[in-house]
Amino acid sequence: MVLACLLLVVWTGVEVVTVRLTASAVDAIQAIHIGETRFDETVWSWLNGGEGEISGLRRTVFVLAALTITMGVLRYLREVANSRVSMEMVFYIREAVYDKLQRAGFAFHDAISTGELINRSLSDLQNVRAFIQSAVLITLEIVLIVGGYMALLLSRSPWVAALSMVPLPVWTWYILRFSRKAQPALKAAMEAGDKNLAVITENIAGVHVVKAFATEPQEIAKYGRSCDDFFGKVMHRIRLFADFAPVIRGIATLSHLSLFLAAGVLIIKGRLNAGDVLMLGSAMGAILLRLQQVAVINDQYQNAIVSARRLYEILMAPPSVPEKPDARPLPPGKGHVHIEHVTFGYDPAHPVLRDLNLDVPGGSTVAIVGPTGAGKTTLVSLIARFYDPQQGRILIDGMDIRDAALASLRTQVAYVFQETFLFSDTVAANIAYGRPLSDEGTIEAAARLAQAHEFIEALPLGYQTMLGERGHNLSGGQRQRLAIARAIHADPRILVLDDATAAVDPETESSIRKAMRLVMTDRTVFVIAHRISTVKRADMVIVVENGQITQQGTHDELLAQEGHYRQIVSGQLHADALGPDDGASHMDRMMRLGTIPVSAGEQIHDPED
Amino acid sequence: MTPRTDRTSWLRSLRKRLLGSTPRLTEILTADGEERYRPIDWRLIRRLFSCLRPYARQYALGIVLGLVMILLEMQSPRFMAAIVNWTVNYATGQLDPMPTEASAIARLALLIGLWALVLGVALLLHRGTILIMTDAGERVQFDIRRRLFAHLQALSMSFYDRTKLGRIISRCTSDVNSLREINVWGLDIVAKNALMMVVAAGMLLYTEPRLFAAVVWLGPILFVLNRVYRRKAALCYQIAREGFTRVSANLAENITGARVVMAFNRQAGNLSVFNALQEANTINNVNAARLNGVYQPLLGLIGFAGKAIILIYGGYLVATGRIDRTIGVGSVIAAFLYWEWFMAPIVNVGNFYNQLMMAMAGAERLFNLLDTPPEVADLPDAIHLPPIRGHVRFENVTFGYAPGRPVLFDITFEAQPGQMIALVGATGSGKSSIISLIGRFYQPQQGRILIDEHDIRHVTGESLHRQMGLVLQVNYLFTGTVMDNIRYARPDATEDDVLTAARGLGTYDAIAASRDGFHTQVGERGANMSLGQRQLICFTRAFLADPRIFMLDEATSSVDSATERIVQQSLERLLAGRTTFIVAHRLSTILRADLILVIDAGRIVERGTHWELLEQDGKYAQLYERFTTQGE
Repeated sequence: MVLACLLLVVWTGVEVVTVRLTASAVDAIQAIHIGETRFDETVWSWLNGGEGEISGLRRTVFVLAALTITMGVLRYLREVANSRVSMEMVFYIREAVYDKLQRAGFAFHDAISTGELINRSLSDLQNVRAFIQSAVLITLEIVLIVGGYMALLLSRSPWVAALSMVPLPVWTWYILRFSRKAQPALKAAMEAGDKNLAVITENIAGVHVVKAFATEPQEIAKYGRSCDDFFGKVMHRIRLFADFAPVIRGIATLSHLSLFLAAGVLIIKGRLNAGDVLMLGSAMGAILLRLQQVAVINDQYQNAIVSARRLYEILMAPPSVPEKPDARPLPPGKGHVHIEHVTFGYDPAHPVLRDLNLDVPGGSTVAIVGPTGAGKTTLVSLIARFYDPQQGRILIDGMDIRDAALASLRTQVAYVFQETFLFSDTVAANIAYGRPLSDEGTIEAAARLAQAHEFIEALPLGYQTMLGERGHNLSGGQRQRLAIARAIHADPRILVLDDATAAVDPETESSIRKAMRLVMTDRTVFVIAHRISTVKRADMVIVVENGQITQQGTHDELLAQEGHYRQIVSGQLHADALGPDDGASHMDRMMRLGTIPVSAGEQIHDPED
Repeated sequence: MTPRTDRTSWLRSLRKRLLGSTPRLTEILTADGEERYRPIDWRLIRRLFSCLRPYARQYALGIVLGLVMILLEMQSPRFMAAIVNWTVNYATGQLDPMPTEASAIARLALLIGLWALVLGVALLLHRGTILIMTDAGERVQFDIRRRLFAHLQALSMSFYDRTKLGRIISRCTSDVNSLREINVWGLDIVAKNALMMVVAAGMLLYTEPRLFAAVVWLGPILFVLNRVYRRKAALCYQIAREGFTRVSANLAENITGARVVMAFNRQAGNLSVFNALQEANTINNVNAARLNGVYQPLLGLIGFAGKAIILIYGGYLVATGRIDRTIGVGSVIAAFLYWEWFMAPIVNVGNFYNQLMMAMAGAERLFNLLDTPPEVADLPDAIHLPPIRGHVRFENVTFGYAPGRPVLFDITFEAQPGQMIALVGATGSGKSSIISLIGRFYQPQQGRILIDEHDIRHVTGESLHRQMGLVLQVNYLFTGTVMDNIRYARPDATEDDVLTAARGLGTYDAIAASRDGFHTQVGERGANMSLGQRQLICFTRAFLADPRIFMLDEATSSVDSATERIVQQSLERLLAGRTTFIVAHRLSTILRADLILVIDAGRIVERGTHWELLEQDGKYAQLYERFTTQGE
């Protein structure tokens, strides 16, 4: 940074001197007297011989050549130093933001939408970067150049220098005024552009609806209206600019001309030389060019301030689940989970879980059922400490998870989330996400257990097929099976399946369930499910309603009780009476039950029951 | 061992360090695997011109004004020369006759006044050019946007199957935007800079032919230098952008998947991958800066060579009296300034060249999209389908999304008006394809589909779709209120119509229960609505449209039982009296059907009612068995 500034100072100095020397070269030409040179002399003999003014011109040109080359070298060094400095600064900021984002905790990501976070860490950082890269150094350059030329002019004629100062305040005032006026117009145009894009995005995402209802003309009209609005906003902004640009140039021209008038008068009075006019022209050109940049910088500065503030918010956000300084790794154990008087709400004022108690012996399977929004997902997300409860505590194998090192805790708990997220990487890398350095055999074994091996083999490059935006697209069910394979492959002590098979068709689900039995034996497993077929095999079923456990026991025990569980089961299990040999009476019953939700996958007929 | 080879290899390695050994420019791709640059292609340029043609007069006016402006501005060196000559000659007493000081100043003021007038007119012209050119250019931009959108509406579903949303969006955004500078300023820039160079050279020649001859040879050198640099720079910046895209993509993905990252404890590893990408990004940027750091001084050096020649040779000419003393100094200054005018277009055209190459790549993709013919289009003699009863017949229909790979083979069946047909079979067996064919989203390769004895190929899409309703697994809602969404197919329906329909269907209470009832704003892709509510809204929408033929791809995902009950009830009312096709996932739905088609690998393997099929003891019986004994 210091180096970059130093280079800039030297460079500016050289530029100012160059202009000064060019002017003296012209002066030298002006001062050359007739008769000093013979008419028949060649250029070379004229340059080599001669005294006085000619040697002055010669010297000046040589020095100028040397300066030009120096300037070139300086320019090169400056470019490189500039870019290196700004890139390094950006590197560290970006690293800090990135690390913060992946450690900030779930609550942080809940509070700020993904789109906004991406926007902040990309475009806001770009704004700050643009400011660092150009604005800081250009501001310095402007000050130096303007100052340098002023000094140069001052050394020739104080009057001219004073006159050249006049447009400065007018200019600055006008630019600031304009940017205040232009910014709302710019913002309006950008927003109109966003809306215009939103119309397209929506139209394409819902293209089957458009086609099905034959509303194409309606859509074209809608887009046309959006275009009209967008066009209007764009033109408004351009009209503002069309007023601005000539005024800026007008001010420049006016001061230019008045300077020439003053300079002309001074020459007539014999107080200035022709070279000074050229110098004046160059100096004013350079100063005015820099002043035009003030407008750009002003813009960058405004953006950078706003952006820096938004970045600061990210960087300074306290971690939602802080790790204790003396955190220890989780002791070995069978995965005994003990939840004690836990109260938790994403917003502490509105608890989602209230004074909840649960004891799950190591190696057992717990099914969690209950209506949407009862707190099932919330409950399981406390186990790997994605959030800390406001009251109560959670123990895993006897250790309060707040005392455990986060890394050791999370490697022991693996999740299959409701919404499957896969990375744009190979299938193998996605399965091995939790344990990146593992051999193909274990990856394939995990895939087989999740009933994913077959479809993976059918992909163009098998396990090496790229997924994601640029890669192969998978169906929802396939994605979910990969997420299950990923969790299995992590070889956790505790496995959490949050509605993990919702997008999988019933047949595949039952084969996954069968395969999973093997995986489940030595682990503690939490299963959130809607389908009774999934639930009834569990060692323990808990019903969560309204943030509390209202029922707890085995499937049979709960079935015997009055309550929510029996309601869902009866809703889904009426079909139990359905037997293939049931004849016409069965048919009648089915017609009677026609309005009861009976998913094909929820049909349960268990001969053992 | 010769010093010569040493030097060349050293030079080569230096060159390599400075410029990097890199692929050809046109091999550079965008993040989406599309080329960003394209060599200038006259076919594309001609086609772009055809987009500008409607505004030819406006463009012509703008260009003329712009050219006049440049000509006026280019008078400045002459004014300066005149001022210098007048004042210097007065100061050195070389005027004949010598005017008084007052009249000398008056003459100076007159010169400056004239100059001011010229520049003032130029300023007004500048404003005019901005307004005229941007107005024309933006109109062209919006014409292209509208054309694109209208074309997108005409394209068939098969296009949307093949093409990712992101691609289509980037056609509509970055590709259209890449044309902006060219559409707005392209003609102006070319005309202006050409004029500037020609006039500057001409004025140099006119001012002093000998000075012109002394510097003219620098022109070709400049041209070559510029060309070499532009190619390298475009590439260098492209690589830098590419690297940045990778940094961004990695960052974005980790934010989107932050929960998985945390759950699987991958922070440290991810950070080192990210930093490696950043490292490359830094190097790319510094390389670009290096290249620029070489080019700019070289450009400066050539500029300086020209100036030095003008000063020295001009000085010599003045000194030896080869130029008249009274205009000598002024001429040298004018020549000096015209040389600067001559240099300016080189920088301008360089930037333009870059933009033009980007526009070429964008234009190529845009025109390709505009040239994609819709696969299912109304035939020229298509008739308006009269109100139908809802009789549907498939006659030996064979169809594949890609020709040569059929997914449906020789499908023949008939649905009587008001019947309910359930399509049953494994995922990927072709159930949804049958529904898509009835909706004429695709064209069968063989066979035909008749609705009330009209081949759907021979009717207009509009009249066909107006009598059809479709609800898919994904319940798509548009931004707007619930009311807007229900009214989507019938924008002329009143609020009362909507409420009546909702009551009639039995969805009123469930929809009214959301925060603002029927005026609840639906977020992007229906984000803030529950699955069940979204489905009910879609049902109501279809109910209000009152189609004769209704198609439903049943949702597999489970919703809570209370909502499920309403869904089933409203579905029953929705189907009453319409010919209905359902891709069925629920046994209760299947049981209700008048006709069950069991599809396996693209063929109808069994057909009949539930009961008939059970007695056949075939595929359906097996499926049913598996459904009912699913628990084990």
